[in-house]
Amino acid sequence: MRVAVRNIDGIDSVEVSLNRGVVVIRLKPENRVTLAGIRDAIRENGFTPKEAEVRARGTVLDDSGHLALAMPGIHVAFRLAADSLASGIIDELHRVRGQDVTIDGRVPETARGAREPAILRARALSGTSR
Amino acid sequence: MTRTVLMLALLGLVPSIAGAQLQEIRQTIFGMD
Repeated sequence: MRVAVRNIDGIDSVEVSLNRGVVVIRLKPENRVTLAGIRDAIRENGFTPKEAEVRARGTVLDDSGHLALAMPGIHVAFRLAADSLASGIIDELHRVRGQDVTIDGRVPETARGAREPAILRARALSGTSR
Repeated sequence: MTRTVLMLALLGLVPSIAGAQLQEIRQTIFGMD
């Protein structure tokens, strides 16, 4: 599995711990890797991807009344919600709409081939541009 | 051409322009199928 994930364009490093049941992936700057692509590669190697913790950079926007993280004007990468330990973060996310930010949070398990954007449960916000 | 790319992006078929940039992923995995 390490080789399969490592061969994806934009991957900087991959550490697999089968004992702990976790794959830690660091990505190169300007990569175009998607979590769905990583999860597909893991499934193709016989494992089931469960919840992930991610750090993602993008633009916070309002997508039909829902907060989302996206590349400007093109595509919703994640729907945004609050992690149970960071309920106040929704107000912070509303305040940074239209800005590029870095978000740490959890992405629950998703079904293979899901067309809906995954939910990113935000825990921390950093790197606001204003 | 541009319209085609945007349509594909909306369908999630062009990973090169679809999605925010991920920096780090800690993906939990479960056993062998």
